[in-house]
Amino acid sequence: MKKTILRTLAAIAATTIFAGLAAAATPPYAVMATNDLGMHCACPTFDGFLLLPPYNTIRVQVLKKGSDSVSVVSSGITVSYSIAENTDAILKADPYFASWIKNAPKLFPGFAPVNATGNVVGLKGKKLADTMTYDSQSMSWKAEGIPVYPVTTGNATKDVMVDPLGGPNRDPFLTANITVKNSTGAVIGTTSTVVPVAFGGCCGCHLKLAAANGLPATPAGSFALLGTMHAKNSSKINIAMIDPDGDGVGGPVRCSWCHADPAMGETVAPGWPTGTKLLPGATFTLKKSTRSFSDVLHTFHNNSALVKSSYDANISTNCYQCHPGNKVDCYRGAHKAKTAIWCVDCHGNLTQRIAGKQMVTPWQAASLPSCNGPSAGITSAFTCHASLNIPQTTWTSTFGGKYINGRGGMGSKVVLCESCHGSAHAENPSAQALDNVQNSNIHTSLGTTFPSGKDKTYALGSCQVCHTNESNVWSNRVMFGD
Amino acid sequence: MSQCRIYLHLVVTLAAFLFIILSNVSNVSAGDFDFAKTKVFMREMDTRPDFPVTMVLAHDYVYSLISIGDKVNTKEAEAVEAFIKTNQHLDGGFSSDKHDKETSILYAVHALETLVLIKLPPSIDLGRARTFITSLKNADGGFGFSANAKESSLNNTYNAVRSLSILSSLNMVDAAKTAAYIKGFEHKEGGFGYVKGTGVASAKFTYMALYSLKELGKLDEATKANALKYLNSSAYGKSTKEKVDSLQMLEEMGYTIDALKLLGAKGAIDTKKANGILKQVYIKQNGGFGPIPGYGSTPDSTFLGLRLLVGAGKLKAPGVYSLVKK
Repeated sequence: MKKTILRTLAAIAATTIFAGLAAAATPPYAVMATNDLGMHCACPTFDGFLLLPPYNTIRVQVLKKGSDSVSVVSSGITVSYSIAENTDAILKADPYFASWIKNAPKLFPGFAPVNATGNVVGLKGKKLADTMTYDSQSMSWKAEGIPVYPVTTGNATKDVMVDPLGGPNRDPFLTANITVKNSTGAVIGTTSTVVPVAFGGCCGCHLKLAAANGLPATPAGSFALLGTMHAKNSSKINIAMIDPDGDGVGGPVRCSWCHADPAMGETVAPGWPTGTKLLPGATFTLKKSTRSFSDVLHTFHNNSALVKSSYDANISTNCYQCHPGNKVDCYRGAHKAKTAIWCVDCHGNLTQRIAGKQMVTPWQAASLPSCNGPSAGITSAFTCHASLNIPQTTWTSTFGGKYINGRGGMGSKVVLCESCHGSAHAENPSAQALDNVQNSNIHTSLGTTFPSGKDKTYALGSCQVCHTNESNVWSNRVMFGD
Repeated sequence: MSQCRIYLHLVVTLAAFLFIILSNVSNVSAGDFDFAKTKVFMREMDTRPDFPVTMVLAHDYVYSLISIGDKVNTKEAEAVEAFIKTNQHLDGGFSSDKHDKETSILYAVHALETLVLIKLPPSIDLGRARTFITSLKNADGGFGFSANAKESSLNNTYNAVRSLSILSSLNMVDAAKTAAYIKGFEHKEGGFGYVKGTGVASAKFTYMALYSLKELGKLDEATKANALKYLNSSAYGKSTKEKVDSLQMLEEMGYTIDALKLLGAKGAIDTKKANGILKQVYIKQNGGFGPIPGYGSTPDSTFLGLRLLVGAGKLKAPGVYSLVKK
């Protein structure tokens, strides 16, 4: 308990100090940090199967202010981050994360989740506190695949996420404190951003499903049942009878071995590890699917009579039944905070998404909405920013649409959309106050004035964020140059 | 005479006082919730250009507003009615929304229940609706989900019985055969589950079985006693001290109350537990209810919360339950 209190106090102190520095270090750099997606998924165990690994990505833009021109600082500085609520010791002591440490080398052969010096590292080698690397495409300093995981902080206002296995609540909105130093080691800018990661709602139904079928209402019971259910599809594969590590027990199985997942950077299914065995009694042979993980998962749930009639009659619209939602609020940005717009208005409901073959190329611009309109083939009930001729440049990637992979602004279009507007799904002003801290700090430090109905929590809207001699009145046309 | 009147007044006053005290001590209290906020929360739906969006949401919207004493305005009622009519297909069945082309018993029951609630003369084709529902009848006495998912299940059978009851067409069911199919889901230790011969029972499936058997005139005393034994001993029952923890569902508590009421065992309803769950899942910021403690409100779970309050007698039961006069 004492440790928890000390950790919390340390986190608060760190945040306060950094916020203070941010205010003090206004000129001559602007520093904006964001998480890329607005929410990442986590599971409480990795013993059976892996949907997604702990994998969070932060991008930081450092801009050197000028009168007219602004330059992106791409070298000569060191940009680093530190996760306030996660430490090596905390994660190693967490039984859920320990399951990741135990199973990660089996799920990703060759990967060591704890390095030689005892640091917890992510799939791209990033530690919980580390330096960032400049990425010329996004013009940002990037740390990809940070192994952030929701933890119990002991602060009841932060620990809002229910543990589906009955443990104490956890904090899904963690904090990355960012420090920028020049070549002499002097701090030239700081900020902080939310690093969100949460459990989905899967256990809510699947533990009950296991019990209804005479199996323990545990992840192990659920995995056993999923195996027999999977064996009923055309593959005949019982995933619970796949034994990658040869220990005589089924699992751990990585779904994307057979169903490629672009969220993991895959365009084709990589296949199972060498030496993978099948448990005695298995009558199937392993084979890779041509369908993406997103495709098979969404299609099954939307089209299943059992799912609809026993668990959720409205599943095609209820994204939060599976995705981190409700009080965790994956979708919490301005679209939600200010309007009645739902997930399905941008992405389409599951029936539409399947019919439109979105999941053939999931997580990509071809299947994702943009500011100008909903996903291809979807007719939204609401008008998007269709008439807005946004000065934007985008690039394609296996992960993310035009908002995540887009930069805007006059001239050379150097500013990431997310740097000013916030993370996807958590756009400013967000219903989650933590998402608004960075913009509030920047606007406050500049002394920006706001028109009626707007305030410091809104998207960065003062010319003085980047320009030293321009207007300091908030405007939603700030990037249009008029 | 006047002394008698005074004495009578004292007795009545004392009785009223005791009633108020006891009500506040143990019963589910509708006063714990701000239904003005609930109304705003549910009415977010009718601000949408595509209102009522889906068949389930149409049902939840109408039920919720009526249960909290709000009125479904003519404009919204007509929009709901038109939506239901649009989503009745040539086979007589109903789909979830305009994007869903598969008709099923699930959306048929939602459509019919909603039509009952809005009390407008239905413009749907009732005859074809009957034909669709009976087309899902299987040789085992149960009903399937849809033309594509033909396998019988307890919940599909409940939905079929409920739909045909609303349509006053239970004569189209082979009561003995369907009752035998339903009884196959009974657990010897009490209650009904959704898998035959294994697994645990649940309040939801127990209620569905009891309702169906009752409607079919096949609910016998032994089945009632067995169900009551289960309901009392479950985590939601009055006779168990098992704590209803954070993972227990609002839905199960609601079905427990509904099942006990159906059995005429109102005294077995654990109003204290029900109130505890309701308070845990109530979201005071917007007046909605979440599905489990710690989660935010959704229209679906708000409907469940209000249905629980109706079950506990704290809100008025909306509607009558037949679309066609018998």
